[in-house]
Amino acid sequence: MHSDTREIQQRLWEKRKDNLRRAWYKFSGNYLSIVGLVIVLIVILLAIFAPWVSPYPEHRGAFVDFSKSMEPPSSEHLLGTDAVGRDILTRVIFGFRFSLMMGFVVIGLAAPPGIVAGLVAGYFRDTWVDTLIMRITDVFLAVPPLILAMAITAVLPPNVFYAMLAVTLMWWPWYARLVYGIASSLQNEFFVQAAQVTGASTPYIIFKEILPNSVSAIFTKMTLDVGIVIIIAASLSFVGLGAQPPTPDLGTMVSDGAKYMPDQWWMTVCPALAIVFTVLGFNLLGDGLRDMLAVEEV
Amino acid sequence: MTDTGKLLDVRDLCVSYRTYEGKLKVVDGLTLEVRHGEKVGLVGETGCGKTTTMRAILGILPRPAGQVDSGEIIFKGNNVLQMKQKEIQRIRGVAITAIFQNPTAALNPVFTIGQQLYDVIRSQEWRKSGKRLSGKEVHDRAVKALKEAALHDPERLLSNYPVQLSGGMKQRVCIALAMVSDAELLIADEPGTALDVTIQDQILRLSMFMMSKRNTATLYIEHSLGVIREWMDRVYVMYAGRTVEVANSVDIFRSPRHPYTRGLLEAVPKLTGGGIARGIMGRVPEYIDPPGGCRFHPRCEYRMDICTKEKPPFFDLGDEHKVACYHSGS
Amino acid sequence: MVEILRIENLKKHFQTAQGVVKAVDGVNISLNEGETLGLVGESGSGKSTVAYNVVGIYGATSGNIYFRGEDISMGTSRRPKSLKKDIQIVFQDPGTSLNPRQYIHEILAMPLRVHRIVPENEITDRVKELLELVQLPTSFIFKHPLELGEGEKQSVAVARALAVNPSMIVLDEPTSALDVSMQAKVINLMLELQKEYGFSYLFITHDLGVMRNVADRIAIMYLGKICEVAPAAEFFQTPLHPYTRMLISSVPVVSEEEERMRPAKVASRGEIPSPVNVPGGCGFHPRCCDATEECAGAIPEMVEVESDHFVYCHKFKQER
Repeated sequence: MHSDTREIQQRLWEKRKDNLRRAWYKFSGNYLSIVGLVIVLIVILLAIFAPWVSPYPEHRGAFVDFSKSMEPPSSEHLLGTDAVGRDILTRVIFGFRFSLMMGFVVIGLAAPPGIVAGLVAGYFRDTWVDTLIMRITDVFLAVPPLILAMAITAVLPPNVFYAMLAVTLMWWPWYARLVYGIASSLQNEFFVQAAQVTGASTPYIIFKEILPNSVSAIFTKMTLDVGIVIIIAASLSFVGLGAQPPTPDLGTMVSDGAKYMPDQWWMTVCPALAIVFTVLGFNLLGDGLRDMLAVEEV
Repeated sequence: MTDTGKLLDVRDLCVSYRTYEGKLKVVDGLTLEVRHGEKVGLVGETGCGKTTTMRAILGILPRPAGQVDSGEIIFKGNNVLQMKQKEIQRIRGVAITAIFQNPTAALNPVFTIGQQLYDVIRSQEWRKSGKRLSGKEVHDRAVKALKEAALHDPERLLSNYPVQLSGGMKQRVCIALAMVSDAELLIADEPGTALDVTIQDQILRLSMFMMSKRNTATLYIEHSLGVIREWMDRVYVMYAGRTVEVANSVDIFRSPRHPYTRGLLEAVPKLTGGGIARGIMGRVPEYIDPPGGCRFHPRCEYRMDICTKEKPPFFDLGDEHKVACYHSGS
Repeated sequence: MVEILRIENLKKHFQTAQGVVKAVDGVNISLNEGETLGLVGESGSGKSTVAYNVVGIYGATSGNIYFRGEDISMGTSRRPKSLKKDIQIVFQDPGTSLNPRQYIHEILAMPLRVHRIVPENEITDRVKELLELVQLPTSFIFKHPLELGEGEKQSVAVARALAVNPSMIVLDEPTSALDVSMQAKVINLMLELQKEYGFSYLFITHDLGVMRNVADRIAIMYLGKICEVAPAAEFFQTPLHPYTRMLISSVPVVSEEEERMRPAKVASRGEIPSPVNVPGGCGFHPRCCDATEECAGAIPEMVEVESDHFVYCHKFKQER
């Protein structure tokens, strides 16, 4: 008697649908999570459709119109114009592109090696493997993140690629640390010991037994970190080590506008608020995800 | 309407939790009473609503999910459910006190035993008489309380942290904490479960001795039928949010009447051997859509038509033995 | 009777910040094919450490464990795979012994895949059979452990142990987290499975009532050492060691027959001392009502009082 595979897949599918509904119930229990999700979706959509939704798409690059320079917010330019007459709203919307790309790429690159390192070190806790991996991460963690990134970008040519590389390099140890903590406590759990007693392979135990139990913490941290990386990227740009003009970037805009404070405040305040808005969105979303993914006794 | 005999009178209590699945009616029409100085056991399996009942009485239901839907909890003639938060605080910890299952979780790990005991003694006295005690008085009372709980070297113990004590000692400290107020009612939630039998034996002997001395009544929540039989005066058996049988602790073990009580008793492994009964068939019902009528009917071998339709009332079998069952009641 | 497991002078010491903890300190017991040996003791007695040594979660500090004559005192990582198939364990807490993020299907498929018990395309069928074997509905395959009751979780843990067709199962307090009616089900299930497949059980529990009804022979442990070993009925009818008597007399019982057979109440006193600082001589002597000077000085030797009834107590050496 062979079980009908279609029937099994059908059941699995229904189960997944139910899990999704349950997850949404938990997520939507806190309205702030919804606010976060909406903010993040707005920012992502704006970034993707920037050329179509921004009022003056041509202002994204090296565009100059001194006749309109430094105009305060008006119906024509909702957030005003900058020193060379470019529409700030347009540049903020295009700025989201760089910020988001920075956030997603850095976290996407930093998380996997950090997670693997943490899992392996945690599983082999109190062995030389643990010592080796965790001492290396300690070295990275000992250097203040922004300083390390600045040092790297200062040695290498200042461009977007190296900025991302620098932030990635300083970011993976945080994932190693996080996952190490989880894995080293899970390796004592009975379900891990049951797998060991039965003779399951080490990769099976690490990736099939331990990893799924770390996912909720990892996802939460990734979401929160996108916000922090955006701030770091903006900080790098602010000191001139990130995105280079004329690429529209929120950090650079804040930095350029700072020269005209406080009279032409909109040049600094608007991109700064855009950063705050984005980071806030990711933070609220991260909190919501944590509630949603938590294993709960029914 | 003060009934002098009754210290605690719970009438038709309904408590529910809101969850994703819907509203869970965890306690549904529970009735029980505790008289002055009486030792009452509340026995039932996991998920029958024992702990929820305790929380409702103490006013510590998890918020916002848990809520009391209807019923009355009358303590010394006053309905606790209609009291203001301030009035409840004057009762809780002073007139009603509690011991919990896990002594490790009940004591705060970052404060010494002394600090925790002093705080309780000070606030008790403040709530009771509005008096502020001097440091010396507080210390003396703390030492006395620990001595009474049969703890050696109380002076040194006061400066110890909970981690430095064994499970049995921690539970003794919890008993000392609960007893400083000379409360009239002690609610205990399985205080011996986390301990070994020899230690549980000591803890039970100690707490019963202290309660008899003070004439403290107790509502003792317990899943171990043996403990109930050996130490309690009267027993309520609880199933799926309702009390199904009540009797004194001799009768209920000699002649259990409710099919659930019988099944439960048979399932207890006996020291005399002879194997263990299969237990009760089926499983505890889901609270989202509990069976109508008698909640036990899907698992009952004596099920009749009426059991599926109407909630059985309490049938009086004499000698304070009551059972909520159409089969064995009539 | 064929011996399946023999433990000889097993010691397991742990190095901790407070000092050396002698969790198991010289244990000798044996288990026959198809038999249930009960290992009883309070927390800190080292009974679970013995269990973990047998299944290989720990390697022994010294001493030997023989499984069908083969020394298995090393930890899992150095055991041959075939041994892992023969010896299985059911843990105490069904909540943490099943991975909360896996479906029951994955949990039960793991041992089948590791030991290639059935070809890949028959795994689902075998999983369903296993669920039927432990009397659970087959619709459970796509449930998470959290959706099951405690008793059902423990049945799944039993099914996982059965998946590899073991010959010996170590049961480490399998029912202590369960309610009595669930406990009755799980215990009866395990006794039936034993009758059908002839498993040998090393059954560890602190619950003497359970022990009376499942074990053929009982060994009682205190502070890492064995105090008394006897056939189950005799263990309860004529308990010899003062600790055994104290333990049995402390059990709250539910019937008058039990009360009559229970030894006269020995008021329990004291607590198990910290395992870092074990009393010299007989470990039980500070709590023992019959303790003499000799008890504080010398470790008692094994005395065979009757055939198959062994006790480690100075009192009985003198009587002979």
